[in-house]
Amino acid sequence: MADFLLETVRRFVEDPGAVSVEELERDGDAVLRLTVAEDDRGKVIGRQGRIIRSLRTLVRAGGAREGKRYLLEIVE
Amino acid sequence: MTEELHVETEGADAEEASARALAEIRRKAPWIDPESVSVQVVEEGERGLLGIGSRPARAVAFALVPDQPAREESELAASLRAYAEAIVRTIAPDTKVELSEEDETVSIRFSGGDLGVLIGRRGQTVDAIEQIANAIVHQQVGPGAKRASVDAGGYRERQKAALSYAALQAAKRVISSGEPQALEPMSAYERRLVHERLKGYAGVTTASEGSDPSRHVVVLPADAD
Repeated sequence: MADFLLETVRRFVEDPGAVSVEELERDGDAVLRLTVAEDDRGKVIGRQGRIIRSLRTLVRAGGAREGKRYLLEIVE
Repeated sequence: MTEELHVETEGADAEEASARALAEIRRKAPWIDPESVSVQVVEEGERGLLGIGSRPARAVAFALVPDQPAREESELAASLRAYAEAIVRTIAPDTKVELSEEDETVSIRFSGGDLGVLIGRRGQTVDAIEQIANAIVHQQVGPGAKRASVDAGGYRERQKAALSYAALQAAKRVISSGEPQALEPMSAYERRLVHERLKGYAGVTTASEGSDPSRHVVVLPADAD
């Protein structure tokens, strides 16, 4: 899932090289921590949070298949 | 396999007629090597005097056109294809993806396998796939130039039919009761379909109210005052 997120976000940011994803576990959930270049944060969040909401939907759909619950966070 | 292409064009003079003949072949088969097109002037034409007695020049172009290369994809289409294939691998491994590119849209269609998981509750997954596809389009070709549309197993058609039905039912209730009717919260795309469906429907108007994610269409009596 981390690979999917990394690959997908790299396709629509200005600075693909600055994208990284860290996966960790917290209270039984898998947490994906996404880091992007500061100037790309707006892009990844999107107008009214639409892009980040869509990314969360995709990550959740993929997790359902693995029987896992993924949380997606953007690293400040 | 090759196909024979043959065109005949006119122009003010031989040069113009020839250029048009070549351009026409290249329009029909953009992947052709221009060197392989043979162009012949069949009539030189006459300039005439003050337009009297003028005849256009005519040229004929002929080419043996090889089949179009299978993957004549733009960079954008290739990127969207890779994205869609990643979706398949990650979310719905048994589905297939097809992609077609037109002037203003790139369509991505998923079929076969477990499409329910790709559609999601009230279409939220297929909408999310489309939203991200459009973020990729904006990044690669700028906003406004092109749009990506995503469908899974004919969901968009069913969605359109269901919305059309809900819109008409609401309009009927508004007319019989004289009271406004609020529809369920919908995405911008769905709201637009409802507005369009009821545009010109006698006796009602429509408006959107509230803010996302509870923004919804309200159907109102047309002569409220």
